[in-house]
Amino acid sequence: MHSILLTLARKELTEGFRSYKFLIWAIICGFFGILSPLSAYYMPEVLAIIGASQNIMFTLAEVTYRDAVAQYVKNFTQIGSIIMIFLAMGSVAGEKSDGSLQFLLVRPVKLRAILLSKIFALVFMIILGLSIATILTGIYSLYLFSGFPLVPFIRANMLLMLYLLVLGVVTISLSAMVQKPIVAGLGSLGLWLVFSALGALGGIGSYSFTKLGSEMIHLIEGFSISWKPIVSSMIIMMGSVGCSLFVFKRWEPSN
Amino acid sequence: MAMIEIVNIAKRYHAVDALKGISFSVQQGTVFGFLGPNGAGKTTLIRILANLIAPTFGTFRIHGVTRESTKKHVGYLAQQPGFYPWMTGRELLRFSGKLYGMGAGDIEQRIKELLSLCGIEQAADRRIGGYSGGMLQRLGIAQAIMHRPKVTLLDEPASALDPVGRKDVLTLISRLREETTVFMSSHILEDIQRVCDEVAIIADGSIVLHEDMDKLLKSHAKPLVRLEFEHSSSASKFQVHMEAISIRVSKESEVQMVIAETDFHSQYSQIMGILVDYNLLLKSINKENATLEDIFMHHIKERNHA
Repeated sequence: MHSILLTLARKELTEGFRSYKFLIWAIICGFFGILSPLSAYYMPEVLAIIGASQNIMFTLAEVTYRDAVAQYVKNFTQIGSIIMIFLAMGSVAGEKSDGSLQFLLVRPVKLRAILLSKIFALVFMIILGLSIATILTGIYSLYLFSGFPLVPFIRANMLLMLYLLVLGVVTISLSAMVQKPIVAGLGSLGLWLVFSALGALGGIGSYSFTKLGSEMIHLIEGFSISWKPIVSSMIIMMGSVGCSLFVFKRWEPSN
Repeated sequence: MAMIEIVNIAKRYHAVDALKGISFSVQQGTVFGFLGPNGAGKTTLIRILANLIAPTFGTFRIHGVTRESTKKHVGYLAQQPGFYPWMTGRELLRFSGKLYGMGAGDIEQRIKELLSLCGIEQAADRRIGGYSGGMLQRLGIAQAIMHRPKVTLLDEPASALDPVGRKDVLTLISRLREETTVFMSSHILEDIQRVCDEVAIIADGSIVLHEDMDKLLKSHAKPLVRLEFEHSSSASKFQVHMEAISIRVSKESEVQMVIAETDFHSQYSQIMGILVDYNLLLKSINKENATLEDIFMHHIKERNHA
């Protein structure tokens, strides 16, 4: 099991590189990493130019690293989430559609090893992308803003990693349950919207994994964080993997 | 020794019985042909033996073991093989070997052997996405036998290939009998007759015939007489008159009719009389031995009549 898992994980990593999936994600993360501090820093100037052409005067509070961090969190928890779903939705369903999953299923390979190897590659991809984004945002923010808390920012990225991981694991799990990647993608998008709506509510909403974004800002600001979204993230991931294994075991090729 | 034992296997999809409780066994070292029209249940049985789908009822044993434990003894090539297009042929074989727990040295040695056996040395380091149909099928056979399986399941291995590709793949399959028991399905009778030692015919989810190929051809070796007419109208009239005198005629095409040689001789004067009296113009008349195709058509027709 151990060596098979390593073999499968190596295959997933090679596929991620050769299919340019990792490269696309790394470029997007790099873009967010640069864009977040720059857009926050230059926003007053951009608004001043727009205002001058329209005869409107915008009054903004002084821009700080907090604006850069807020922009960073927004970029990843909004556009980044959609891109994550898009990159993960074909993980298993794509292999069902093109027949390559049968190559694995006729061999002495456990279904959980297939899923774990895909999650392993997902973790690698998220770490790779967030490392690039963290480094770039860190460099630009230190240069552009005073008092940027680099260490808390790096720690807070662990929460962002968990946020993206939940989304990726749910998408991979759905991908193992359905026949077509687009169904997995739409299903995951739907769940993300439900959790986002839930997160906007009080009470039970504090358990939504989408609250990890605001917890990330709390951590950077030096406040204590709530464990509720972290615990619920773990439960969501374990639950979705469990459900997908249950359904996946009953899957039979139809074409 | 029976290498594959199929015991009363049935498979039901919703309201459709794809397999209706079939049982037979395949001996070690055989190239076994599994013949049947499209939709007869060939792929369903192969997928059951490959552990891709579960039977609704019944069981099977491969090399004495059953279900999940059979995986290490089985090699499989799907009808439309799906390999990773971003891998090279060599990488796919290496990946396959690792999944079967083969050692690194053994894997490299085996890859060398298989690339040579399957004639894909030149393409070994090219991405699979760029392979032709024939190369893909030969790589498919190589990956199926990479771990030296006791049984190799080939689902329509040559059906989608051009004549040259088909010939190459069939030659390769006939060489496999030295190292594995081959269970291949096909709807191309010529392919089965060319490489198989034993054959089973499946129709509508049931086995209608299972026999050794040589014995089968001998037992059904009733010579036939093939009459080719100038016009289809002559052929149709001939069929009507033959049925009137209780001679069984098989219509091969619009202008070709086949009757058993024994009938032809016993009713010779009457047949000739009909041809002359009704001015039924013949183009040719030939005596032939029964082929697997004749046997197959006979059994399928009988099944349809029943």
